[in-house]
Amino acid sequence: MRLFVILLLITQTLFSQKFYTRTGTTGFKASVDAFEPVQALNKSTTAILTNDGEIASQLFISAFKFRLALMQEHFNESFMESNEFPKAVFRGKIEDFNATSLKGSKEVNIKGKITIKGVSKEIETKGTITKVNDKINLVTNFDLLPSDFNIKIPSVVRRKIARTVTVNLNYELSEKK
Amino acid sequence: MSFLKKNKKLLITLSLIAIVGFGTYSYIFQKPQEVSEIKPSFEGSSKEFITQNGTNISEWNSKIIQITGTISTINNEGVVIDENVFCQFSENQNLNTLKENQTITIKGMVIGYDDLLNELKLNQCTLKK
Repeated sequence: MRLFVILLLITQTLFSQKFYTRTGTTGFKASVDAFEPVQALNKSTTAILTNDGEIASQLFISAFKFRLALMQEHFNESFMESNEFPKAVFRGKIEDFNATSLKGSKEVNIKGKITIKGVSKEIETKGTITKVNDKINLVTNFDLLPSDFNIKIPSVVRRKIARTVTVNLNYELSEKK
Repeated sequence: MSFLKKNKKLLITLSLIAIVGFGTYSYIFQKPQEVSEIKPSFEGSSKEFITQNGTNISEWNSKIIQITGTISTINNEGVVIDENVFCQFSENQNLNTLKENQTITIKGMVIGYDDLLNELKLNQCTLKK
């Protein structure tokens, strides 16, 4: 009996694959036509994906790069208060997913909890997961409302920022050795 | 009288407006400063930095540090120093000359302590010989 349990534990560790990245790309757009584009890219997102689709990702708000220094400063200091809330975190599951049996590309449903500026919200989105050689690529887009996360946009710039923010993720995950 | 003398006041006013206008435009539309040009707030070994601060590095957020250490892992994403500092390099940095166990000095911006992988995360890193 004990031998069986030991064998079971060993096989668990052998087969619990994980895929991860430290440089995942997360971007967002909140531009309004005729005004200066409001968009930024964060190429330092960490994400971990297990064999059966559990995903955890974390990014630092201060790592979002804008084209204009002033916009980046306002974003960090006024809107996101990144000194107080330095991270945005997502924990969720990719449904009907198995890393070992994945071949080519698959449309998936992703469900989970996103936490921004200390506020958590359940979200659900569709994404595409692709196996390229021994890497897994995850691409998804979803919309968020700043008001859901206590992000107050002052009336002075209200017209220049879209009410809905579109977030796009592109993570290339490699196997953890 | 020449054109210049006649309209001296007008020309001076126009030049001033142009200069102020250009200055304001440059300020509003300036790009974020290049990390390689900023003086680091900390210079030393990565072990020193970790011992001093541990996982509580909120005061170092967005600050530039220069650390020296041994490469424990190297891959196409970046370099891990002393197993607990991850450095993501600027786009144009050539990493072909780096090998594991090599001692290097890196200057980069602290973005935070990653508790998913338990490492300090730096980006916009540049190699310092």
